[in-house]
Amino acid sequence: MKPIRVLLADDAAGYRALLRLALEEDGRFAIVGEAGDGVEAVQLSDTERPDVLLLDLAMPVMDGLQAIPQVRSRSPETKIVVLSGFSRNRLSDEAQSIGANAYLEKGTAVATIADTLVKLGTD
Amino acid sequence: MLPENEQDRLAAVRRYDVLDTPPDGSFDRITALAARLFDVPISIVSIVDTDRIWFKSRHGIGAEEIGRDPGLCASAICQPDAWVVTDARLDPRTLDNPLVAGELGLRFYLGVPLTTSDGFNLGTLNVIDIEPREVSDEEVETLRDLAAIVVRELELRLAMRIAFEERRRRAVELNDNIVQGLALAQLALETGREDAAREAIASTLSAAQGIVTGLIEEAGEHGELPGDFVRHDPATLTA
Repeated sequence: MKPIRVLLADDAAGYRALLRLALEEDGRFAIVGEAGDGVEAVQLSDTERPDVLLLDLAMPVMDGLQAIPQVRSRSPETKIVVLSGFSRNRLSDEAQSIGANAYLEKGTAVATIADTLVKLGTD
Repeated sequence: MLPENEQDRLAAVRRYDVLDTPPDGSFDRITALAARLFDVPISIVSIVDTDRIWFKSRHGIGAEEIGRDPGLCASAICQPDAWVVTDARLDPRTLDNPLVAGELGLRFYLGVPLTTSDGFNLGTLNVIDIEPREVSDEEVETLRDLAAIVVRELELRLAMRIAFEERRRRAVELNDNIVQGLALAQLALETGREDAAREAIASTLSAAQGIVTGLIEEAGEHGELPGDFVRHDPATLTA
């Protein structure tokens, strides 16, 4: 099976590095880039055309909610999975209404994150 | 005519974030009350912007704003106290004014500046008549009191907005330092990196202590008293 191409966007470099390790160990993914803020996430989505963007919400320069519509319009094929420290109560609906495909809270088991990426990435 | 501190004054107008906001019962009650007390057809809460005078509340007049040039409020905010015109057609300051010579036919104007606690005149509370009239010191005092209520209302709204922003800032701070730290620790454990997990937990604990200390210091400016930390319920940690 062709690996699912994933772009990671999170301003916490340590968290990003662990996610990369976890997803690479899983074997079903290729990490095509890492973004540290919303602007980088939009730019890298544009150039790399990932299957899935795993997107944090609170980031410097441009936050995730600002980035979602821009990624949507620049790389319409890219699925967007929000992975945020904020609970899904309020923000999940808001994120999905502007173009996110899924909302996961940080703390979600890696296996669940991976399954979500596979499900959306192979749609 | 411009107030001496015009740039700072305009910054204050922006800070209060009142321009072009929807009508508001609190201010509308004050202009209605002022018109009734003074027995005049028109009363306005005005905010003087760069090139216009915008009406936060208007009783007895349809216009939502006027240009700053003809506006009497622009003159009224240039001085600290009430600005009175008892007969605008005879008063050299106003006889050429289009509001006086024109259709509106303004004759009487009493405006009190809306002075913020840091000393900026945002606009006025005024009462207007199309007949000339005199005004007593007592009446000026009444309008001054009503203007103080308007300012108090504006200050409360500003304080509330600042409090909301502060709460959001706190939420983001907790997210950045605590939620992210614990999420990192959990991810490190899941991926079998115990050292990284331990490190993340240690730095999260110290960040949490810093935030808690900050909150306690803010809440108790006078220091803590015995009993301040009695819990309602025993501490619990739930999964």
